[in-house]
Amino acid sequence: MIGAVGRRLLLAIPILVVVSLLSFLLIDLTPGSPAELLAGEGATPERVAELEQTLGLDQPIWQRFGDYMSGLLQGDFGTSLFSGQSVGDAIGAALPVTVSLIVVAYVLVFVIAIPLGVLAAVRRDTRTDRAISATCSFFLGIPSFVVALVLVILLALTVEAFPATGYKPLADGFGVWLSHLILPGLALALTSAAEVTRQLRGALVDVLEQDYIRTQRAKGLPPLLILGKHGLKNAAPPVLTVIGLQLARMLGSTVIIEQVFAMPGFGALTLNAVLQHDFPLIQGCVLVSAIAVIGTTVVVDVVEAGLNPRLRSAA
Amino acid sequence: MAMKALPLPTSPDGDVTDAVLTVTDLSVEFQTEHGRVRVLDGVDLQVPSGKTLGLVGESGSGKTVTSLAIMGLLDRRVGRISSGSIQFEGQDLAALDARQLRRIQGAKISMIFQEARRSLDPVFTIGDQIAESVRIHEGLSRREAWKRAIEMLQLVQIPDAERRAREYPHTFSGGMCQRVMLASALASRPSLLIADEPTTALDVTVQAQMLRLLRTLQEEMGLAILFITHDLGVVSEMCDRVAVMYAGQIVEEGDATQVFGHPRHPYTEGLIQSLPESAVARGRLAAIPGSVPPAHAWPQGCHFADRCRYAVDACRSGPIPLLSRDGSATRCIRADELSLAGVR
Repeated sequence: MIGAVGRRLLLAIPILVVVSLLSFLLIDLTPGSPAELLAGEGATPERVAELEQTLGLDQPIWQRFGDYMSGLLQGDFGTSLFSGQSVGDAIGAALPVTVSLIVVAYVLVFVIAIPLGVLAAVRRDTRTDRAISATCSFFLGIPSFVVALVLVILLALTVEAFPATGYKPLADGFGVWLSHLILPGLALALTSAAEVTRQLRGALVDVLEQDYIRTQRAKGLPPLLILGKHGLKNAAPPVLTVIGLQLARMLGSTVIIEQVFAMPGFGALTLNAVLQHDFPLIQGCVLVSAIAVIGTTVVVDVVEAGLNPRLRSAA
Repeated sequence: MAMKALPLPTSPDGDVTDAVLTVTDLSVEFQTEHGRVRVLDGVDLQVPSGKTLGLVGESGSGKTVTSLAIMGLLDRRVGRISSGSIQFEGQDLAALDARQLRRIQGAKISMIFQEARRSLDPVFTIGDQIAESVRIHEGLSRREAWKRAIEMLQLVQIPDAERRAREYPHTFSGGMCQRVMLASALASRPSLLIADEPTTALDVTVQAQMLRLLRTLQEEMGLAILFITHDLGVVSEMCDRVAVMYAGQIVEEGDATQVFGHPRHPYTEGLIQSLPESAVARGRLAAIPGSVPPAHAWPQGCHFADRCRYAVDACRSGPIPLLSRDGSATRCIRADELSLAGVR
């Protein structure tokens, strides 16, 4: 088991190297020199050359990549071109906001999707099932920023149940922290919840029609035990994969959601870095996203292997 | 379609034996695209205690629906028992609710299925799957239930039972999976086992071992078996009595040697002639022409008339009753005038 985890983590390393290389190449693939962009319009060629020299851009790409990688190995992500702050510090300050947001969103996904998915599967082909499916299609069809705006209008401006914008750290108190995260969390969660509900329904319907479920009924086991033990454990693997994939989707959505709710998070940081062509910061953000997504995949793989004895003995 | 119950089967010395299961006039309806369709039409069955009743017929004849109805396992969204009674140990199973049925399922009546491997949950150990039903039915502790699971695995002759109890179904062969199913089914010492084509998916040598094991356990435990199969060879090897099913009805019932030696329904004769040994003797495969019609298209009169070479107009005029005589029964109005060929 531990060997399997180690092997998956080792496999992640080359992926991360390729990701850093690609994000590094962005500098050279972007039209115009970063120094030109940095110097602003109308800057003299001398000024641009001077900037190139300070940034080390006059050196060949392989050398710059080597320097970058050796910096990474020492935990040095570089320095922001604009704020002069270290990239590590900038990400470190923004990350707790987004991690809070995604944790709350994930909790909401579980709370919404598991009961609805199970209900739809147990009542398959009834009105309940069709109502749940229709609701899921609806939320899959509308973008999360629309959901966010509607939520703000309904629950922050009209009812004033939750603050409309901002973020308060956990240190200010759990209630305060949570109240600022409910609306953005919900906006982030609804699309994923719809997706997970559909996947869970599908997987569970498939499982409930298997011969081994009939066997459990023939054994006289109570329906809730059959559903909770035999049903869910068999249906879990494909659903877990989809749950894991939601992280990448949510990371993408935070870019917009954090704008709507004026939250100083990782998504907002990434967006600003891109708008300002702040290459070291962009590279840092891309790398952190990649680590998060790959990390989730490894966790999902390990949990799935734990659920499936066939995978377990193969690992 | 009310009809008198079959006389109780008699033992060779003429005494009436007690039946563990008595099904009377059982009808089942399914909700289909053709509306509500009757798929079981007044089925009468008796399984003598400690003996084996074979239920034979082509696919689509209603054998499996009969067994599922007895077990209370019909999918409630599509099928329901529309009339009849299922008497088992003084209770009418057809009248019980789901909670009451669960006390009988897996405890007093157990079932094994055709695809043993697909009938075992792939993500739990086999020991766990055997233990969980005895925990439910007998309130045994985890440790006691596990002990019982191992005893049962030894009983069905699985070598190295203690180690294998901790393994998953995918590490077992098809025959071994069926032994595991049997161990699980017999764990609470039921009085009736319903075996739905338990050996059909197994190869011949494994099949013979399985049948031998079933017979041994039947004697040891005084188990009654309802053995569902389309394989007449297996029936003659396993069964004391046999009921032949066609298109939702029992068409012939009686002592196994009697039915095969001297069939009294043309469908039974057709089944016997479709046996490979008979076919070899005649130099051709005497299969019955056509196939079982779908339930919504069953004729008013004899269900078999359209495929029967002996059919006359009277066969199609109205429902044919199951007529009994000397402890056997046939649903053919021409039974007495026809001389049908049996197994030679």
